[in-house]
Amino acid sequence: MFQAFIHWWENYPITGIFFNFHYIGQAFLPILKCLPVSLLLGVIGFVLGIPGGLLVSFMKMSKVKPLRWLMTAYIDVVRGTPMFLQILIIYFGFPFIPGYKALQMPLKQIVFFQIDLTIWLRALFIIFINTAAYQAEIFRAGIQSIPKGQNEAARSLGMGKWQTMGFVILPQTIRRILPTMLSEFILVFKDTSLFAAVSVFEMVMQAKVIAAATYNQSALIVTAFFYLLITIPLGRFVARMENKLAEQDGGDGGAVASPRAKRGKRPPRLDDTVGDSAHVVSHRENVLNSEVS
Amino acid sequence: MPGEYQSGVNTELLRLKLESHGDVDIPDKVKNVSAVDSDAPLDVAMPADAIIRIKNLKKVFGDNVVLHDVNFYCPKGHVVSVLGPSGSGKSTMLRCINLLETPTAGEIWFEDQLVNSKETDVDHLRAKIGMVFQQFNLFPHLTALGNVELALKKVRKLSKEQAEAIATEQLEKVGLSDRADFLPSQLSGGQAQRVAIARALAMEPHVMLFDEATSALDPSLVRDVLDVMRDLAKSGMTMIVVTHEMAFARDVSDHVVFMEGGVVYEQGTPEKIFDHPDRERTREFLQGMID
Repeated sequence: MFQAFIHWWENYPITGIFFNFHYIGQAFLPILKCLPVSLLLGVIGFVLGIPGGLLVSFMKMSKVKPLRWLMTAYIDVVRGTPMFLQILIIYFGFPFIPGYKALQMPLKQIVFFQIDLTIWLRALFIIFINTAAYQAEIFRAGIQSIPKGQNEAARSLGMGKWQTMGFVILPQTIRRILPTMLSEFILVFKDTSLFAAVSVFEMVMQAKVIAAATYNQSALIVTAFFYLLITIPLGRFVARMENKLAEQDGGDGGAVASPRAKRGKRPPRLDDTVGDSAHVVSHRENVLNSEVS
Repeated sequence: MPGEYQSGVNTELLRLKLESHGDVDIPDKVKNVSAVDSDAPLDVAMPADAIIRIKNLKKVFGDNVVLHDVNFYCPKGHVVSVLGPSGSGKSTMLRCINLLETPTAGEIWFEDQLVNSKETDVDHLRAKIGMVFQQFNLFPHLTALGNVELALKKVRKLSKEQAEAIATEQLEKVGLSDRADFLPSQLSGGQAQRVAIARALAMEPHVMLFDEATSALDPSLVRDVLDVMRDLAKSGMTMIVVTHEMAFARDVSDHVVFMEGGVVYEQGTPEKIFDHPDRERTREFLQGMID
């Protein structure tokens, strides 16, 4: 009876192609071995993006006009083009830079998770460039959401501009942008899958290879499982934090909206909106419209 | 002599106003003043030892002239109350003193220093001028003690122990030593404002500016804050107080400045301003406030 069920399951087109136990078992370990690659790309790229984004946001709020224009252009370009295209341009463009060849030889000798350092560095650079632009907008919205009186109070005590930023404004900003930053991390983590297009052996690339070799899609389903293993708990945690913030602030202020949420290039996502009441969403949209435009 | 204030009526401006509104009914007294003084220099005589001297202060936001021409001064140890309807420029004037707003024209002197000069070290100046805001503006991520300590550590560069000792002492002075470890969100409005006062006082300012310090408070909480301000005045602190608390202005001030439409409309001792003001508008305003 059980044998018969398994036989039916593995031969029926849908279950057999996507959820085939045999191929799932076969793909599980090789893909699990690539999970660290996806995670490291996401985490390191995102963490590098934090100081980068902060710096960009400062420059975008600077009184020096050329600096402001430059950063506006940078953010517009990054946010207005698909990350896929950014990957293709930079990943394949790097080797054309003079001097790259000479640098390449020693770097190629250093290998983590079967990926050499030239690939790691190029991939991390792309993620950095991409997420720094988004994070800059998160920081800017967060900093500008702090009431002006805070700045005035600190300055009237004789604190300098940067002291005020460091000890009064940023500590309050961080609390407000934490959920949005975690959402941004989830997006970055998922976007590491795009590196499959340039044969970086992260999870999706590995799954593609297995799927092609076995004529079966089950490996891709295994990959989806590993992504969800990270994104669902994080997404729930973000939602809880947002609700807590909204409660504490009594509807005023609250979490800062994700700059990715508005663009319309991507449909709304689980981690953008989960746990938000309609009120909070509309409020966040308002904040965003007034501040990003 | 300190304490004997000159008349600060802005004669030139009044004359201009009168000319542009020829048909408006203006009391004879004002007309006379402007006629007699129209050739006199605009500069108002001010004693050089006054800690704050404001001369011909003008502030423009875009097309909006908020302060036309403000003149008054405050000798050391005195309390000057600034009264007037909302929109008369009281707060803007106060914020010009510590350069939270940049004056468009005129002079502000703090001790022997021209405040609105390019050479002013703004942070150094502000460390000597305490300010208390209508909305308290406590730092919500720090405890009451942390709020008072922060500038001591970052601006006066005191050690952790010294800063804590001073902060504790200041909180005690405003009667809040038992609230030292509370966050601003756990304090009542009156307590929050007293912490804000302690925070400003901890810097040992030479002058304190109060920008409608009690306007955002429940009526029941106003008294605690006013008591602290009264004690402070008694201790000899120089204070410039923008307020709607008429009883406080009358009892505590050495001098009252009544502002209207961006000018000092009338100023003098509390007795003069409250009991027999020269000008009808002053009387009307005060009447309105007391009713």
